[in-house]
Amino acid sequence: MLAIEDLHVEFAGRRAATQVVRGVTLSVAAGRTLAIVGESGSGKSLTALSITGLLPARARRRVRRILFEGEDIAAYSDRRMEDVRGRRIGMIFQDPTASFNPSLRIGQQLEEVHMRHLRAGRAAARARALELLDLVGMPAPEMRMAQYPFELSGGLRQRAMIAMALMCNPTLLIADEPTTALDVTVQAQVLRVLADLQQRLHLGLVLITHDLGVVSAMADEVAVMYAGQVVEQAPAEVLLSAPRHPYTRGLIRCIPRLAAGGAPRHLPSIRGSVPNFAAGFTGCAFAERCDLAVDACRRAPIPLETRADGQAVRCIRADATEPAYA
Amino acid sequence: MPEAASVLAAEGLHRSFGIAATGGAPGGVLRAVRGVDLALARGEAIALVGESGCGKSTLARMLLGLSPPTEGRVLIGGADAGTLTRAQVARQVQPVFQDPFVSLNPMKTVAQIVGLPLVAAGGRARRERDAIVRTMIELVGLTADFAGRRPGELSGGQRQRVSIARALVSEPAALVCDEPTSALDVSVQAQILNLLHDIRDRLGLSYLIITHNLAVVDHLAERTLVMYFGRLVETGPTRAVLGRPLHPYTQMLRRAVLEPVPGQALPEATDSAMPPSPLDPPTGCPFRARCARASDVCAAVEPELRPAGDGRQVACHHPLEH
Repeated sequence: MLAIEDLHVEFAGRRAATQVVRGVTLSVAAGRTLAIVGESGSGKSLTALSITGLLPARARRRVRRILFEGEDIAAYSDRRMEDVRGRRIGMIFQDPTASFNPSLRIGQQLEEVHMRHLRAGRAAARARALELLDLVGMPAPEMRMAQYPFELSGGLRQRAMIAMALMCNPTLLIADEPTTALDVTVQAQVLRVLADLQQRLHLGLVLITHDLGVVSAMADEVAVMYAGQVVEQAPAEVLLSAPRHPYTRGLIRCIPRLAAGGAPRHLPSIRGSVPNFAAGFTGCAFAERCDLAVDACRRAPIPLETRADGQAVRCIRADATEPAYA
Repeated sequence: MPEAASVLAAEGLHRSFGIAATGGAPGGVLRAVRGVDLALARGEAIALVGESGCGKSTLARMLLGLSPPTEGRVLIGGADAGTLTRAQVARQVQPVFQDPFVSLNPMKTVAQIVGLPLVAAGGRARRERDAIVRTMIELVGLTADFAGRRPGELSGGQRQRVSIARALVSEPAALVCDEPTSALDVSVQAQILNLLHDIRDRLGLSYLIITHNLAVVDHLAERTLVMYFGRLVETGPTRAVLGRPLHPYTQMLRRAVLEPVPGQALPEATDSAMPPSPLDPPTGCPFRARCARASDVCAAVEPELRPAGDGRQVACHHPLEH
């Protein structure tokens, strides 16, 4: 239902433009979840924002096309895009505080979305708002409608945002770190709401996250981003059980785990941190932090190669054996 | 635990806040911490876990001497914190905060930031201070050339290293770390956890680590305290508490953790209730509305924290088997 082809995003600078997304191609089908995983600066959020053209003012998007339900929305004017945004594509962000107007009641904000996009009357909008608050498991929805955003807890505010994103029956939902600010117990509740709704409404879901635990519970397909590129893409089960790119492998290994149990101990880590790629790079962006890197990794751009099992990897050393970890 | 051996201890700590009525919301007294005892031994690392709003950060502020208890006392190196000056507290207990993007002065260089506690303490010549600062910068895994840089030039992980160096420079006995890695990327989080682990070994430090991330707890602390609604509801060796929880709340937290393993199912949606409002506390056990094991006694009597064998304690009328 959504296919992004060869997306580039750059920030205009005083001297030169800085590339932050470098040729990303991704797709998601109705009823399926694509997770885009990466650390800060990987370009995952900008990739998501690019879909609806909500980039920061300094950012420039260049893309072959963005096919959404058969239409190339990359070519749409701002006005036409506004209709797509909110109505056909719903969006959920990490911080619901920033998405709500603090001085308007929750109910009014939900109703307004409906009235504006669907030209519905107040009564219909109100009925729809109540229906959705109920659908997202909001306790006492009538009362919540009359409350201001600050009167809701983080988890409830996030539910209200999901309700708002669904007001106009979108077919695609983009969720950028929707549970990062929440407690684990509340995270589980919110993810369950999302998963239930997705199934019931057959929504396509693009889930931006840094959390591979969330990926495991939610995603069908995963794209791992590093330095503005997809470095590995595979079905979630495959990626988590047999990661091929050294970055993905390092990322999975360095996550502290409960299941392991035992005394305080060392974690494997990826050395260094994400370098500043403002000046661009040739070859593999991860080479400086990679234990498998050889000269060839730094010489020429590395293509994203799809393997027989459907796993795509941007690495020429994916089959090399790693040095043992201490 | 004997008091003399504790670097940091709390005895019957309470902290209440008066809340003024605003708009439609009624005012009242918010009891953020409702009677906490704890003792941090020399060289020990304890984790304090719980959901947001459970009172863990208020407790931390009291332990750091930043906020006076309403009742009870904080003991730092055996002395009542109420009788110590800020400087005396700071020499023994130092904080490491969650977000190194806001806790470092952007106008100062790394050397100035790390050296400030030494300047404030006085009594050392500049040369001696510079040498200590240099040692600290290297101890936290940065190179000497970081001394002249400012926070804006550093990555999140590097900033958190600077925060740790600043905390260590006055040679405290204990660090109180409030979500020390929550603002960091996963790959950097592992580096900082390892660093905390190493410097503790090397310097014989004690840690109180406040976190909501149970997996982090497992890597840093021998003992875990679980806090709910202003009280400790379960304590014990980390492995036992997280491996075989006694309190249904601990079990709920444990089950909500999503791990990066293939094919993980979302936790069952049994828990839709929220913690009660601290302005309107329920009778009995504050967890009972979220608890499948709750009975009549839970509605009537709030359970006390009681020994449960193997160095464990639990505050529950119907604890789980272990």
